[in-house]
Amino acid sequence: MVGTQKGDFTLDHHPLLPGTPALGSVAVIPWDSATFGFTVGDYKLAERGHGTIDADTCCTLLEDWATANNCELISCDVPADHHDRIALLSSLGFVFVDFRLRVTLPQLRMTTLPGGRIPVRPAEQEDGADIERIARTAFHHGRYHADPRFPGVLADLRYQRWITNALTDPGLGEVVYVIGPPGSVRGFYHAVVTNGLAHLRLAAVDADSRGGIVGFNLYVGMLEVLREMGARQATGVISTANVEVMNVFGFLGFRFSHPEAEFHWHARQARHLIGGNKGGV
Amino acid sequence: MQGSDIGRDKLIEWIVGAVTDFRLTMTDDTEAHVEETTTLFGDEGILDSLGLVTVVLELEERVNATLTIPISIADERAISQRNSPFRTVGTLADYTWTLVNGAAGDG
Repeated sequence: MVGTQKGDFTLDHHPLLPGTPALGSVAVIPWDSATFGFTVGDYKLAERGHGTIDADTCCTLLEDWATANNCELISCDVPADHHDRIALLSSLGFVFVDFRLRVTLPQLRMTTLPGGRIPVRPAEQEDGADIERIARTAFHHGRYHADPRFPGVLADLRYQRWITNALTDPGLGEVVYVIGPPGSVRGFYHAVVTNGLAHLRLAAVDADSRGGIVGFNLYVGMLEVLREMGARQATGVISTANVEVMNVFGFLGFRFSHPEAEFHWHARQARHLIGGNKGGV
Repeated sequence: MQGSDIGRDKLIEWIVGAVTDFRLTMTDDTEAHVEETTTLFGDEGILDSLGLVTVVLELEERVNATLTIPISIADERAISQRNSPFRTVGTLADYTWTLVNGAAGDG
């Protein structure tokens, strides 16, 4: 799997305390909140140079904001080498859930790809059920799946909704391709091409094909398609726990950059989280 | 050489060698014993996707170099099989044997 919706869409952050930028800013993540049936948010630490943070004050403000917004979970990403900020997040009650990397193939047009043996094809309406089934069952990585307090069924549902939206309401340059004949789809790939840059959003193969040749051919075939669509570069985001796909990216010539640590904060009275409503984390 | 000049045992030997080499390169597991019944992919498989692709490409190259028979093991026909030919060392050898002799017969 590649991709993170949070990284692909713009969030509307507001200062945690107006006039005090050092305390950072928060936003509701509307698409995930709509999928989960409860509010999840995103916290952005202040840029360095805004002074020190009083952790107790910040904790109180985060809890107040979460209560006011019925928010049960707040995420925060920080560059993996910002050790001071990682320590700060821990003092604020955030817990580490995942590491992720940006993957980039900078010269897609000039890259020699191994010949795809199994063709990919644009997804048709009749493929929808197979694609949604794969999306609902194939993913095991990413911050929601990595959070032991987050219900797996909701993390799965997020990917199903994601691909359903891509199939039913595709934007400009947005494509979903599949591998396998109609009635026997083995995997899918969702990507968006804008201004010559291919954003690799989501890819998965069914459980029976995991670890086989289908996944490799899906990645190769999709890159060939994206190149034909005019993409000069390809980029995406991947959990570092997903070493199988990272090895495929490495084999195909991708570069890795922008390591980030992902943290979650859980509300004390969270009703939907595992172990919730038991007095907090 | 012709397709019939190599036996299934030779294909097993090549596959076991390629799998063992990949395991030694990519994992810390130097004790794994690879044999005909070893599961290659899936929940109990000892290869990941890239590992299986690597082994298959090496097998194709050895067949081509030894028998001068170009075969394509990993293609649409392979994934459309009711039982995957990539399940075990033995099934991969069987499938490759079929391709080798089919290609030799065609030629």
